[in-house]
Amino acid sequence: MDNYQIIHFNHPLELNALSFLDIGKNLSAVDEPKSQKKFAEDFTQTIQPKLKMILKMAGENKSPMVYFSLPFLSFLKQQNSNLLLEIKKQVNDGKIQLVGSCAYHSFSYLCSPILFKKEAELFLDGLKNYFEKKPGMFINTACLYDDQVAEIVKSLGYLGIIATANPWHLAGKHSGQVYKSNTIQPFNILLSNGDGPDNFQISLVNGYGSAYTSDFIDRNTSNKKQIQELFLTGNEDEHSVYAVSLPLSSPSWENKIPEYTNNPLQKALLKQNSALVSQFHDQLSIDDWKLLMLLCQPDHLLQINQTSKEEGYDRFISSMNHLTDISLRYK
Amino acid sequence: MIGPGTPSPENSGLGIACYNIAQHLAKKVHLNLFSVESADEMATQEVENGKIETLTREKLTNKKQLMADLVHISIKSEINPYFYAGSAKIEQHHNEALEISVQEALEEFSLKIISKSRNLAFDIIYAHDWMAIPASLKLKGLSGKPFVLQVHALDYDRSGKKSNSWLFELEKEGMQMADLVIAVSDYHKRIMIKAYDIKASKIKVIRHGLDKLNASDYKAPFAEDIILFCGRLSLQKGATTFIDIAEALVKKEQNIRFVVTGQGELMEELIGLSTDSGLMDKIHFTGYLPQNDVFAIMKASRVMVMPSVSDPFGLSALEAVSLGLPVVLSKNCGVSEVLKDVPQIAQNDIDGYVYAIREILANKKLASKTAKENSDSVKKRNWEVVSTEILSALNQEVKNG
Repeated sequence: MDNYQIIHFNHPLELNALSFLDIGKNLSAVDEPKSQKKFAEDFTQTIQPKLKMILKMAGENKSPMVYFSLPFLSFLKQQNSNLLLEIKKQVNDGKIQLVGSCAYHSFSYLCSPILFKKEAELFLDGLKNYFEKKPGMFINTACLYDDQVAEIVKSLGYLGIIATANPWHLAGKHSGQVYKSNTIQPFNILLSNGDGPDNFQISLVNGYGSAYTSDFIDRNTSNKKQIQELFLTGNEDEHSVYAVSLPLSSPSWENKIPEYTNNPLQKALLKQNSALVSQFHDQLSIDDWKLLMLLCQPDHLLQINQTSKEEGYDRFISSMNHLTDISLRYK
Repeated sequence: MIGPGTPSPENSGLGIACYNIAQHLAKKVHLNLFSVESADEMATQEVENGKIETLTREKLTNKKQLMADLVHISIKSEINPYFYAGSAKIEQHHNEALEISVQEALEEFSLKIISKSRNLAFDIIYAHDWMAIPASLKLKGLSGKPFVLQVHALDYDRSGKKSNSWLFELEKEGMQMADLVIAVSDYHKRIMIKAYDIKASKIKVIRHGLDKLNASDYKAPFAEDIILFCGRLSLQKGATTFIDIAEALVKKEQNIRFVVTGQGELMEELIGLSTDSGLMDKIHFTGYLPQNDVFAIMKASRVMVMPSVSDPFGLSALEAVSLGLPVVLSKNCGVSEVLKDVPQIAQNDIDGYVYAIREILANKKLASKTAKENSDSVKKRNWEVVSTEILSALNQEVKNG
């Protein structure tokens, strides 16, 4: 049985609360000190041991596959630059396989395809500050996948994408087999899970700061074969098409997607965020792009829905004030 | 005095009025204030002048030390003058259980007041709204002292109609048993007479007043005119009507934004309505803001709309006017009795509101002149004047025995 695991490392960024009366004052949106403090608190007990295990696996030629969000790398650099240096060396030597995704591990795709594309681009740009190698394959946050995701990711130069299997009509499709996306230019897909017993498994694991249910890193999992090589095997014409018109998310993700999108406050936030992206995408500064992405962080969306009503309202109101703040800069 | 305690997001106008009345009365009489709210700031002041003793929630719950926190939360959430839920049916089901727990908390609160006042020498019971009625009736029965009930809002106003709820019956009994009922407007007096069958002769109208308002330093960053809704996000205040007005208004006026200050049970529904109406880029929900921030937004706004289903007075309209902000009121607002040349619209007449707002936007000079005249007029009636009138009425009842 071929077992693969993709280990996710992220650190959600806290946003400063913005009162209605503070709109237009160009106040800092991200609470860097609070976010950094949280990272520092978790580092020794939680983060460092996981990273050391990744390094150990790399040393044992197990080719661990890892996604690092940009905030995670930034905080790691501040916290322990030597550890980052060790990781960098292993990545550059090809012993750690980088996996591409969104810069801030956000649900930007649930908001706007334009925002998603920008976040994926920012990730590739940002990664250059840390590593010489670029990732060959892509996995969206929560393994969100549909045909349009494939189209966008292909345009960014990735070799392939990890997708969530549609449990309803796999019709014998199983993971480990390469499929073609249902796009103008076919794109290679690997399913992270299939619909029956097979000999291939991609586990999606939470290293830190992600919402995959499992945080167990299996030291024995050896990605002997570089996963992107799987995409290059076989004749492309022989691959069958995997069509997904509506986004599917990984069953390994802690919450169902409607929990991030269906509450009226979440709907309003995502809709307004999307409208702003559509209107100003050719003018937005990098900081404003970043803020729009951070407003789509899973934790942020969830807190609007699942914390106490008052706290949820406060977060929503502050988020909308941030959006207004951005919009005023371009009017 | 049995009242709601310090102003808070939960008791809004009622809390502000009672706080001001208590502050001014305390300068003239020895006032024992019984309140469910823990009033740290007020308590500090009161210790300094030594005239008021506050029965805070901490004291109320001392008996059960281990359960103190739990009881605090319970009482805080359950004894809330605005516990009415939104229009959603799901909330109505929730209310049945809530009503029972409110009644239980009310009974407990009343018993504690009776217990604490057993050795207290007093001349008159001065109570505010339904929360204070059961304890006041028992106190009156035990002491034989006169009972004056000031009514800031009724079940009729909050539910928008005459109902057969236990609260309606409680309010009716309270007003019937009171020696004097203080109404905050003629509009409300008429409701007491018509809906509650209270004798006109025992109702005295004493309208609210205002002290000088301190607004935060604020300059709106928007190029558009701000149309303001300020109040609890509830059916009583016509919050959903405001969204309907906004939806209709944006079809005729482009250069406007809407600001909704305050919070309440309809928040989620209003946001949903605004999203569905495509208003979210034009409307801002501020949530709860400190009073001086609200005043700052009033100063930065062009019009304030108060489309209340039934507003016994409407203190925020008085505040707006004193800051020079033109207002458009529903016909069901008591505050209109102290304002001149203010548009009053039938509560559901969306076109009427739209027309009145557009008139103000189109005639800014005239609107400002009217607002200025009203501002000068309302500033003459401050809380000192109001509390003097209340004290006079209380003295009269003491004399009457």
